[in-house]
Order: sequence, then C-alpha cells, then structure tokens
Amino acid sequence: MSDLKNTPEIYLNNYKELTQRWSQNGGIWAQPLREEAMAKFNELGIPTQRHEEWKYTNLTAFKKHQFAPASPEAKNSVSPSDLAPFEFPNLDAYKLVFVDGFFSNELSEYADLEEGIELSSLYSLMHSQRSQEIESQIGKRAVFQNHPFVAMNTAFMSDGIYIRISKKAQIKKPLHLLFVSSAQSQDTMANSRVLIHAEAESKATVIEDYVSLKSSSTRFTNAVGEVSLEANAHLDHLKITREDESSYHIASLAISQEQDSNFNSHNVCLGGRLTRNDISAHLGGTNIECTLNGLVLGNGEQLIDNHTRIVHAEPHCNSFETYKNILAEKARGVFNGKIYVAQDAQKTDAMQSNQSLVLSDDAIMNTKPELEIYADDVRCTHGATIGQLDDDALFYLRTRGIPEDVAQKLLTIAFAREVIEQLPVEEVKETIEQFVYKKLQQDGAALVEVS
Amino acid sequence: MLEIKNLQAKVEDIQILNGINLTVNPGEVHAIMGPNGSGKSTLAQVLAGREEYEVTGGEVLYKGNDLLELEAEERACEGLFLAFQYPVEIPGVSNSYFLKAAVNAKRKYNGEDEIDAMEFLKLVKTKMKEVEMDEKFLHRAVNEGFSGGEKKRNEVFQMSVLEPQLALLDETDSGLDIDALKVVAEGVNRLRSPERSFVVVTHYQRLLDYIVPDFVHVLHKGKIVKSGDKELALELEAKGYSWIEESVGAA
Repeated sequence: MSDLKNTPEIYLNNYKELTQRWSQNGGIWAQPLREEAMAKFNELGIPTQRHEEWKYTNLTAFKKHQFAPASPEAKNSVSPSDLAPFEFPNLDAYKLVFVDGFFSNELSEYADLEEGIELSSLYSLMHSQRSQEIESQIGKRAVFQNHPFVAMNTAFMSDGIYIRISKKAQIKKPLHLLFVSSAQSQDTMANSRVLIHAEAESKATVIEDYVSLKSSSTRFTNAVGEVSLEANAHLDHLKITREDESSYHIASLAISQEQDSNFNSHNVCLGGRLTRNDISAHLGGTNIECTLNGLVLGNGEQLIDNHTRIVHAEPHCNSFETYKNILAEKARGVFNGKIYVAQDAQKTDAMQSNQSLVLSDDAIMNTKPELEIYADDVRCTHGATIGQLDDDALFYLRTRGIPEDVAQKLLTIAFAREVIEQLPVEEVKETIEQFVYKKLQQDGAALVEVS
Repeated sequence: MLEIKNLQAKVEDIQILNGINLTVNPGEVHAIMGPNGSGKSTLAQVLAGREEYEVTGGEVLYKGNDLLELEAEERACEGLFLAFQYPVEIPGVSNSYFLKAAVNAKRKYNGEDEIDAMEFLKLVKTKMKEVEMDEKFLHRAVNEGFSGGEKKRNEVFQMSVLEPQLALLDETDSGLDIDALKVVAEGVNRLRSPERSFVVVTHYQRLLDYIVPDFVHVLHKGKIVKSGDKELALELEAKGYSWIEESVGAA
C-alpha cells in the first residue's frame, strides 16, 4: 500500500483502524472488495474542477474538513423525539431509521411488514457468511472505477440496507428510509448503502430521506444506492435531501432495468451546503420505462449538482427526464444530463428537459445536456431554459391585488409544482410544498395560506 | 370616480398617449373605441399600473387621489379591475387558489379577516354559474389551456367575485362568438350599479349592442378626438375609422 499518496492521511489511518475492527467482527468476505476500492479511491483522489465531471463543483472547502468515520454507537444518542420534526403528517409507511449510516432497530417502526418484503441490514450481511445473493448485488451497479466517492463508500461502507421485493409482491405501504446525521463533536462522515432488488412483476415505493440534527460540527453523507429491477417490476424511488446548511451530501444511485420494467426516480434537493447526485440508469431490455425527475431549491451559498445518465441499450424503451432548479441569493446549480442510445436501441423515445429559475443576480446555473446517439430510428428531445419569473404573470397577479413579493413566491411554487405533483406519495407532497414555501419565506415576506 | 387629465405615456421611447382627457363618474359606462395602434390598450395598462409604460405627463385622479402613485396591487385593492385583452396563463396555480389569494389580499388591505373557506366556495360557485363556467375550471391552472372564450369568461368571473368599483375591460369582446359575447355582456350588466363605473375598450361596435354605454370616445394617435353617446359607435361602425382620420385631418 506504499502507493497510497493521493488520499488525505486521515482517511488512510481511519481505513486501517476500521479494517482491524471489521476483521474482529467477522467481516471477512467483503475485505477484498474494500481493498480494491480503497486503492482506487487513492488513485483517483478527491476530484478538482479540472475533472470534466466536477467542472462546476468546487470541493476546496470540503477538503479542509477531516471527516472521521461515524461510529455505530451514535445511534444511542438519538431519541424518537429528535426525529419528530422530520415526520410526514399522515404518512403510513414502514419507517427504517439510520443514524450516521447505521441501522437503528430501536428507532425504526416496521411492524406487520407486508408479505413480499425482505429486509436485512448490510452490517449483518457483511458480518455473516458470504451469500451469493448479496454479492451479486453489491458493487455490481455502482462501480467505483471512475468515481472516487463510490470508491470511498465501497471501502468504508459499514451499514445500510438490503431490500428485496419478492416476485409478484405488490407492496402497498411505502418504505421510508430516514437517514439522520447525529450531533457530533467532530466532523463525521457516514458511508451508507441501499440495495434494492425488485423481483419480477413486483411493485413498491421507497423513500430515501436525508436529514440532520442540530450540531456545531460538519457532517458528510456519502451515499450509494444500487437498484435492480427484474422483468415487469415497478419501483417508485423518492429521494429527499434536507440536511442543514453546513452538510455535504454526495451520492450515487445506479439502476439496472430488465425488460418491461418501470422505474421512477424523484430527486428532491432542498438542503445542504453541497449536494451532488450521480444517477445512472441502464435500460437493458426492451419496452422499459424510466423516469428521472428532479427538483432543486437552493439559496444562501448552497451548491446543488445533479448528474444523470440514461443508457438505452435495447430497442423500444422510453425515458423521461424533467429537472427543475430554483436558485436564489448566491446559490449555484449544476445539471448534466447524459442520454446514451446504443446502436441496437432502435425506436428509443427519450425526452429530457431542464428548466431553471434564477431569482437573483448572484445565483448561477450551469446546465449541460449530452446526447450520444448511435441508433438511427429514435426520437430524442432535450431542452434547457434558464430564466426569471414571467413579468406578464407577475403583473396579472398584482392587478388582482396580490402583493409583488407574494406573487413572486406563488409563481416560484407553481414552477416547482410540476415536479411536486408527480411525487408518488400523496402525504409527502404537502410537506415538500410547505418546505419550499418556508424556504422561500426566509427573506421575511408574509405569505398567503396554502390551500 | 376617475379623472384623467392630459395623460401622456410612452413605452420603449415610443410616445403612445398624447394628452388624454377623460372623466368617468360613478355609475357611468364609457366606451373607448379606436383603430389598432391608437393607444387603447396602453391606456388600460397605464391605469392598471404596468411599469413598462412610463407616464411622461399629466395626471390621473381616482376617487380623488393620485392613482399613478399607487402600485398595481394597491390599485386593485382600492377597487380597480382590469379585464385583460390577453389573460395570462399561470401553470401550477389553480384558479381557486389564485382567486382566494386575491380575495384575501383585498380583505387584508381593508383590515378584514380572511374569507371563510365555505363562504368562499359558495361565492365562487354562485358567480361561476352566472357566467356559465363549469366548476371544473376552479381546479384547473389559471387560464392554462383555456380557449379564447373561456379566458374572457374567466376575466368576467374574477371581476364578479372581486366586485370592483371601476372596471376596465380591454377588448373583452375579441375572439368571442356571439353566445360567449352575450354571457360576458350579461356578466358586466349584472354588475352595473350607481356606484360602479366601467371603461370598455373595444375595436368593434357589436359589444356595445349588449353593454350599452353612456358615452363613446374615439381614440386616435393617443388622443380622444371625438366623444358622443352610443350613436357615435353606430356611426363609426357605418363609416369606418377612416372617417375619423379624415375628419381629424380636416380639422
């Protein structure tokens, strides 16, 4: 390991320490994977803006932190009342709580689990006998060869969850995965992983929800998700990031779909100092539908960067993508949407749209659609707009007596609503809309009540 | 109610209004006619408070106060209403939400409590019936995907809910078939009262068969060049706007 030189010292030391701990707890089978990933992380290093994929995302401030790996004991410091502010009113879901990436059975509520859901904590899986099933899922979709943070996650992954929806199971209640960053005296990082395996003809909804408890330290969440859908499976995936304004959140979600499956991703980015999502879907069969939607709301000095990639490998598949950004104050937004259509993927229908509302002179949006098409009988459309609120609409509202500041917020919410309305869980919509309202309200203006 | 004195306005350095004088008393209906480009819509927009139009001279008194000093929303809360020639589509905002926000903004301005949800619903349902609008429009986004006629009906519907003291109707008849025109006109006539005034801007005389004006003014090159009663509108219809141009030119 003498060539470990790109990685900050702290990560190397922590990795060595963790390796010892894991080996004591019987975590043997994952070790070769970790070693490989750690070597790759070191080789790649923390990216700079010279890397094309990180062109607009400056990690200089991030690098100044020395993030220590989270401890599994942290979950004992969190009580159910700490989580109350993050409840979705009236939401009836199986709640699975993770503190700093570690699953907490005590804080979770998933009694009367419907037939067809199998849940296992990743910690228990990694510290038990090797299982072919888990090894066929882990590290196979979220590859770390060219992504330093996926490599870091793979080296450091300590816990997370494996969800299997069995064949033909139609799961009624959503699974609400609540990832909580706890209050710590030092800067900490959580490397969590979510594995979802939707078997043939199954249907389920998963909410990944990232929140933070009040703390003076800086928290870093490095999340990786790997999702596989078998033939005819349907999965709605809703991800919400609403951590505090000092948090870093870097995540990769990799999806592979088999024929006739339907995957819907709704990526709602509200909090954090820096948020980066890499979402990558591989459409590896015919007649697949894949939707990647996103809503970004940034203010203050937030940076929110979404990179998406859809690979059409086979004919007759549809993909839809709508990303909307709202940027106020000094916020920065990045959208990079890649659509790859392989030569065999005839009759592909791919639609991509990225619309951004830039509400202040200091806010910046960088958007880049990338289409790479090798088939000749396809329909691919993409559009990107960056603009301000519509003056005509503003005036129209004002002529009806609605004050200018309220009218601005009304129109901003309306802009976001196209994405909010498509969220798969009714009870979540209202809370998200309220959150957007509150955030827009931070500059002090009063708002009309939400009906 | 409204006193316009020598009003001049420009947009993007083009002078459009060149000294308009007009007095509207409570209960009166004034029609403003004129060829395209004569300044009709500009006048309506200036009165409603559109900032892109710069007032370069003259004054406007509304209920005895300087109207031009007020923001667009303040004018609305003071009872001024503009029915748009081109009502704006607002995706993502439902008609009912929009209207409730408008009603409550006005109530707040007048120091009143917000309207009760049931009371509001009853109010809008009654008014919708009057303009023959289906209730489903309440839940649709403001004007989004509405036909031309539906948009105009929606303007009259909003007007009847907000009950203004002075309503400006900017070419509300354009793009309407005769049935829709009647419905819109009935909506306006229902609101006519000794306390309420209307300024109806139109290109064609036919609207005035249904909304019978007390006065008709002809606007030409940003000035009122002729005023009269409803007979003037008929004369215009018969002789065409070239008649005005000739008579103004001759004067």
